[in-house]
Amino acid sequence: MGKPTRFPRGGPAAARLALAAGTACLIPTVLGAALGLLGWLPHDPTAFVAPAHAPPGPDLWLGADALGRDLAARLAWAAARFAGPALLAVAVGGVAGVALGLAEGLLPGPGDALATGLAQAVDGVPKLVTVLLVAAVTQSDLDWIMAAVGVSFAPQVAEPIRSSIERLRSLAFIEAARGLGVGPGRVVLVHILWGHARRVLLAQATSLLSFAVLAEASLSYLGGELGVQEPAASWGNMLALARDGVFRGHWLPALAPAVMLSLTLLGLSLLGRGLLEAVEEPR
Amino acid sequence: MSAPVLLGIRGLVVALEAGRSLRRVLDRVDIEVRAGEPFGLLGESGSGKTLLLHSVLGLSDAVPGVVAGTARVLHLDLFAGLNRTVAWSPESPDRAAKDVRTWNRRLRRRVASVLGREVTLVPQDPATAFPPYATVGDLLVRAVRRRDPGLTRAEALEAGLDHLARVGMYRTREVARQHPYELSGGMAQRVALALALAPGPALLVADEPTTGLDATLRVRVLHLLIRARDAAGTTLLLITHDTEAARLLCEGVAVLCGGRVVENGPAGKVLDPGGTPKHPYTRMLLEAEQVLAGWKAPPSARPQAGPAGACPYADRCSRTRSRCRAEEPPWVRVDPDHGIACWEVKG
Amino acid sequence: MTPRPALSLAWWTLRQTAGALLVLLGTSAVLYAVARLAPHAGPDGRVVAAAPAGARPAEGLPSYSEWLAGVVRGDLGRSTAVQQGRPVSDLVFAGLRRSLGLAAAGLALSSLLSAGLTLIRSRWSDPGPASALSAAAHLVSALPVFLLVYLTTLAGNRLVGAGIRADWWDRPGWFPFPSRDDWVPWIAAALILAVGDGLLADLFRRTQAEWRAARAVEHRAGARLLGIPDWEVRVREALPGLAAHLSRRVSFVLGSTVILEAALGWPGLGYLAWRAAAQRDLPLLLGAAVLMAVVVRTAGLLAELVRRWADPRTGGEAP
Repeated sequence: MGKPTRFPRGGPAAARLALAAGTACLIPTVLGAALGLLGWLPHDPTAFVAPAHAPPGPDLWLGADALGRDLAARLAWAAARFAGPALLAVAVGGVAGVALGLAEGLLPGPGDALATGLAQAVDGVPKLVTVLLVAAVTQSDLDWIMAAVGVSFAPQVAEPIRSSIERLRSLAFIEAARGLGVGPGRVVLVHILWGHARRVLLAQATSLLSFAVLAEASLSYLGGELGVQEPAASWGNMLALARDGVFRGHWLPALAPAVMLSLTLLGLSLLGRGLLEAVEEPR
Repeated sequence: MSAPVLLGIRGLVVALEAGRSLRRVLDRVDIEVRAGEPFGLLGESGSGKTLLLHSVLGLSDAVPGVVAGTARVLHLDLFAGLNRTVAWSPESPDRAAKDVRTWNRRLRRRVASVLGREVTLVPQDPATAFPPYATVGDLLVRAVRRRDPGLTRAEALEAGLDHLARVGMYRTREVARQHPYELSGGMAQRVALALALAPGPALLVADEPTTGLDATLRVRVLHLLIRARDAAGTTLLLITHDTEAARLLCEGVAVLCGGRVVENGPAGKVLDPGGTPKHPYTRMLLEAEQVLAGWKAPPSARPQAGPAGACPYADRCSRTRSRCRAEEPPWVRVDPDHGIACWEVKG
Repeated sequence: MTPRPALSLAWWTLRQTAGALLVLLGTSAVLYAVARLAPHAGPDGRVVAAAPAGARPAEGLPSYSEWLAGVVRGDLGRSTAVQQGRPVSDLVFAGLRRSLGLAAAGLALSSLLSAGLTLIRSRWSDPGPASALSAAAHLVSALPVFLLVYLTTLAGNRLVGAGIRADWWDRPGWFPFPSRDDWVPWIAAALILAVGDGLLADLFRRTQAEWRAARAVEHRAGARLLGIPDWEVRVREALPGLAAHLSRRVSFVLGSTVILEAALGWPGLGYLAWRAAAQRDLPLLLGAAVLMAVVVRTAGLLAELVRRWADPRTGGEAP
């Protein structure tokens, strides 16, 4: 026998909790990125300011890494360096995905088939492999890599837009709006994008960001000149550098980037879930 | 000695979550169906007729659903132990606590022994009410095996095709190869009826069998239902808004309005278009039926519940007085077997 | 009204296969375009490891039509850096044989875990512990695969090492991890694939949604009337949706396998792809990508078959 549920139940409390928790998880990252972008770092992240693996002190909040650089400053700098390219990924993915989705949904016969074929073609290969290909060819240019992340995500963004359009079309919504004299651009922006697809698009944006962080960190960690290279900082390559030190008992230079990475990914995932459930779907 | 009661419902209250409070969509409903006396449940769409049967038979997913009442089907006391699973009182009707999962599990387990055997149901939309991956043949085999589990598939299929032929279907073997969703409305209706008759039930519930059918099809379905009603050992319970069908088929009738029974009695008296005393709502149904065959009010998104402490028909009645809105009308017995809940009717 | 002959299933499969081949053509075109057209100039003065100094990477590639003709024949060119001179097709097919089992095991484990979690959540009346369990699953799943590899290696080696020193157990053949000669490391790797990069959280969420949706279905009433058990209806209702989700996740798991194999140093298709990228061996990288695309498309086809079996109504394309 289980516990009886009280009726009436409350509102979407779980979604709000997820949103709050997600935002909380993302605060350290956003803070670090802000500090880095504003240049308010205690030390130059590339400068050698202390002996290797120096313990945390009043001057070095998290101590020094294996080469004697300020760990906290490098963490923040990694976040700051990534902010721009990450936004690029979202922008490219968003624009390409929306364009693809609209093309799939609104264009007549051959255009629709072409768009669908293109989406399936891009979706046919694992996203990470596309990113790998671009990384290899452009010799690890982070901007191009992030653009590749966006493009490989475009089919996934296009999908809810296309299904929104189909649903609206089956409801004769679009014809009705056009019949009332609403211009096609307005129909697209207001009704399709904002009205019906917005919460899924927002959730997709967090998903895209998650993948971008994941891809960049993985490539930087694995080395092979594919990700972010020294002396530039990335949580991935900071972890790779700190590997040897862990065996000698210096675990902080490894723990710090691992925690930051995990918090960021967890926060984005929670945020995505909360957005999906909390934003009202219009009837 | 009166006939045994096949279905006895007393004081049934079914509530649905509505925003921040509970709405009673069925309020203190009393229904009694006796063997050999076909019964009709009358009311417009949204009055809760289907929900009534579904809540009793464990086919409903409403939450919280049943909060009070008793229900007996044949020998089974379906709602035994209700007060251990639900906490609700008429004094504070907007709050309830219910262990929905346990309740549903228990009710369905109890009903499972009779559902599909002694009590069968012809669903409201037969074309989509059955699993899409099963063919009509598969479904017939299952229905026949509810009564005779020992039959082989071939034997059960033959018996099923027999039932199908008896409801007036031609080319039964071809139909048996198809899926329910591929059939036209009328054919699906007949298949559903055959599936309901195959187990040889004591109580056959027909949920809105004439809704949405054109005139010729309606006549045919009514004809089938008359034959089903006259089949030995089966009592018909008709859920409909079609007063003509109810008059043709039923001996007893209960009228539901806003989730409450507003009139109950023999079909001859309740559905008599003449001058016998009747509830204004029943009168409206009869008049509407005469004007436009098959007329029904636009269905509401959810079953409507009448306002508590007032007559459920008060907003639409032409004879409303202030008393109708302020107090619930009493149950007036115009005859020993005919009751009406209305302020304007004298006993 | 016409009964459906069995021949139409074969015809449908043929049509789907043709469509899949067309899409593969498109994928190969996209990949080739990226390889050729993306800017090759990197930061000046950087030395590219293991490739001939100063050479433009794209010089290893023939024209698109030549390359495509080769692909159809089964000739994917020759590796320019990783194993110079060896035919790419040999390398990638050998790699596929090694990696497919691991990727499939990862996906299977992930679906099993999600199904288990979903059932636990739906059966467990007390919401507290069930929520804690799913929260834990989401937390662990958020970690990237390479991080999980690192942590597992670290913790595993420490634990086993301590055990050996304390004489609790003998030195197992697969110590220190990462070795792939025994089933223990292999299962551990499959588990990491099943959970990491957000795969478990994603599948869990989808399975829950499908299970919940399968509850509110109209034909449950009809099924119950005929004595068809509830779970059978729900499973058959949820199955096509789940099959579609799984087939889309094949692509994702293959990506995670690349990272996993690279992090562990285990030979396989993923490791080949990574090394090819690191050494700018474009023919090999393209070959590996095309092979993975074939696997993804095949999985999609299989999902469509399952969907059609479970719900014959939908004869159309899956999104």
